[in-house]
Amino acid sequence: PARARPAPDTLRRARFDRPQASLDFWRLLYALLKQIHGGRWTESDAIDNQIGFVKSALWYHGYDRPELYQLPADGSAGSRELLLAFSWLLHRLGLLERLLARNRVKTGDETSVCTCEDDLPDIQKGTTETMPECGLEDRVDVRYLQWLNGRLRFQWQSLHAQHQEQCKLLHKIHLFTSGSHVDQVLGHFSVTETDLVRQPENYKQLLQLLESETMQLEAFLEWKQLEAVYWQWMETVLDNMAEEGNMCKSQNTHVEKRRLPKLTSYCHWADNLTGQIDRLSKDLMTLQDRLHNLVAHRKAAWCEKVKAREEELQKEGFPTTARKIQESVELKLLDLTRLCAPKENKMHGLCRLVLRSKHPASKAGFGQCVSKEPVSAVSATEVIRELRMREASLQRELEQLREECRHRLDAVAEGLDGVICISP
Amino acid sequence: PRTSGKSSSKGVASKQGGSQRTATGSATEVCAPAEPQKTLGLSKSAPNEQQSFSGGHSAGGKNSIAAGQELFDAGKKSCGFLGESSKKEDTAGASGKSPSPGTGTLQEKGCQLKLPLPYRKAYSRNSRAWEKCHLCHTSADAAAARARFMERIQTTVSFPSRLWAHPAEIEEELRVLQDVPSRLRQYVEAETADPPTLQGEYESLLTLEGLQTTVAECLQKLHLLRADCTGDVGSCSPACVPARGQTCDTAGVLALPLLCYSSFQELRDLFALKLQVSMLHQEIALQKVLMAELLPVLELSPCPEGSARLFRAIHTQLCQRGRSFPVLVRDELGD
Repeated sequence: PARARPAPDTLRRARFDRPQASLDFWRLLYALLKQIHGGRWTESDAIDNQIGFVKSALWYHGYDRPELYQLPADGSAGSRELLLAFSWLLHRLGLLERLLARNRVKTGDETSVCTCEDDLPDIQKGTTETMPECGLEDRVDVRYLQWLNGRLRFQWQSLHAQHQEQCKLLHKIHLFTSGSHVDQVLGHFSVTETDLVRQPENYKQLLQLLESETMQLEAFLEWKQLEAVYWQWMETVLDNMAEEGNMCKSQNTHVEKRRLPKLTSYCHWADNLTGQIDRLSKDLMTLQDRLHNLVAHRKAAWCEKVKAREEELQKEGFPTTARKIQESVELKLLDLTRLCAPKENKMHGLCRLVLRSKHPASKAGFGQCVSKEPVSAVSATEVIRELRMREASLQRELEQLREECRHRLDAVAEGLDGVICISP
Repeated sequence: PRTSGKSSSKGVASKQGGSQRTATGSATEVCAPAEPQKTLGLSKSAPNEQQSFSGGHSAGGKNSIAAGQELFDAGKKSCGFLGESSKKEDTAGASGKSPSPGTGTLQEKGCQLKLPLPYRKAYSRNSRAWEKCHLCHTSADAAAARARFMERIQTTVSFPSRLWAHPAEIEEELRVLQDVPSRLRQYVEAETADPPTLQGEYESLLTLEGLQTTVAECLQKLHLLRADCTGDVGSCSPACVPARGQTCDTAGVLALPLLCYSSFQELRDLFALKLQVSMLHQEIALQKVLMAELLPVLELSPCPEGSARLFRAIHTQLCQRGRSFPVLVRDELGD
């Protein structure tokens, strides 16, 4: 966006902490961070909203300089702090790479593979404002809710049907155009490319976008060559600050105290997360209890058996078999421990759908290509497996919530006089 | 074969020439509600609906639209193109006479199609540029300078360095742990059957003990994360915490990964499951909101006359997905 693009001079001005550069920098950071966080930014957003957003985003990513959070909300000062933050983000988030990837021109049939929660709007905040008080006049009929729910369900079903239809068509196109693509790794056309063959005159814009993206990529390559200069320059900025800092050391003590703003302010994020953590813990604790019982039971049985046949087992060479069994169990559980560690290659974002037969004889193999560097490829089988697990755990979570409702409503039912409730 | 005039002869919109961008925009809305009845016959009835899939739909302009929508649009667009071919294969004898000679079906000619030259050039240049970017690495000087800068900026922070994880990390760890319980459960289920042999028993026992350790570790990790959460409250600005940013490996980000499926069934399963997961997310969110709004109504206010019905409605909605009803019986002795 043109508005967010700062002049090269802005950076220089920021180095000297010129206030004029502050606003530009705030806007730049806002535009960049909004893209990363998946939002659609409105340029009409008031500057203090933009600033608030940038501050939260920086906090979210763990940026620790208190001076930044204390910058005024009208954007009138602090360009040097912003310059620092910008450079920090550049490296910490891989800003350039991320933005390039995010804005990639789509020529293929793409879909996402991650199981993360979609960007659901913050429902909780909304309801307390929009839901009317339970005054007699403003009542919402619960049957309206039921109706809405039914409609929602119906729409999900139609969406499902449409997706399935789409799959059928995608599959056909992929199958029928196999072997036609310039790019061997892909092998077949996407829907866009197939249409491109039919009506190339409609895709002039696509070509332009491809060209301009290529130019951006080349600019990126240039940047990579000159990167050292930038970081060295940033060091001089820090040098400047250090010199000045020695002069106003006394002010820093105040800064420390003021660092922690209102702890009383309700933190929605933390609440949400602790809720999730609690649910997971509860889940695990039930599992733990179950395991505890199971293990105790089994262990007792095992010890008895072993005691009875101790000599016999020694003769059979059981200890060696036992060791082998231990090793194999360790191997089996290794898989599990790897699951609990954060995955480095966890993929978010889009992938291009490619039809590839599982023939071991095929030259492409899986993710390898003869002519080029191996392209990272994920198999649908894997993704499906993960999705199934995710589905199972979400189902369980939903069931837990329903269970809770049942309990609470049972309690209410006791209070209803003259009525007995029999749940189905 | 690139046919501009011919392909329109099958009843595809005669509005080929003019760009119907606005029309397609609304056409997709029009299509959607009408779909449910026609989904089965979609490919067959495509010729009738082809005017809504007029060709003036440049994918280029759609880059900002969510991928799902674009895929859907593109898929709909191709209905027309394929409608002809699928119609032909659905009727017996796929190689029968084609009403419009020269176009052929996608099935027949698909593998001989060639992308137009300008696109091919642009595409190759583009993909080569991507590859170069993917492979290029930071020079040693730059990396060193950068590391120095980052370190210095950390030390300028005027309070003790963070002892705890920052929000993005916390969320990431939590995300990882989401699936662990169900995976663990699977393992436990596998061990519940009584093993026949002595070795089997031993193996089962060891496995269960190993699982116990893992569960304990996970609980510990969760405990720590929780502490981190509450520790971070101090500096958060509650007004606008950003939607979950996606932290992924920056190096790998420049290569567009491929999602390879090997059969039609796989593709369908993939889409179905994605939708299912998405639906469950929504259902959970809805459930929480409804609980927060509806339960207090029953729990707090006194019980006026119609409350039994209200109770039943709420019970249905919250506990049975709106599918079945509890039975309410009057507790009266017959006269």
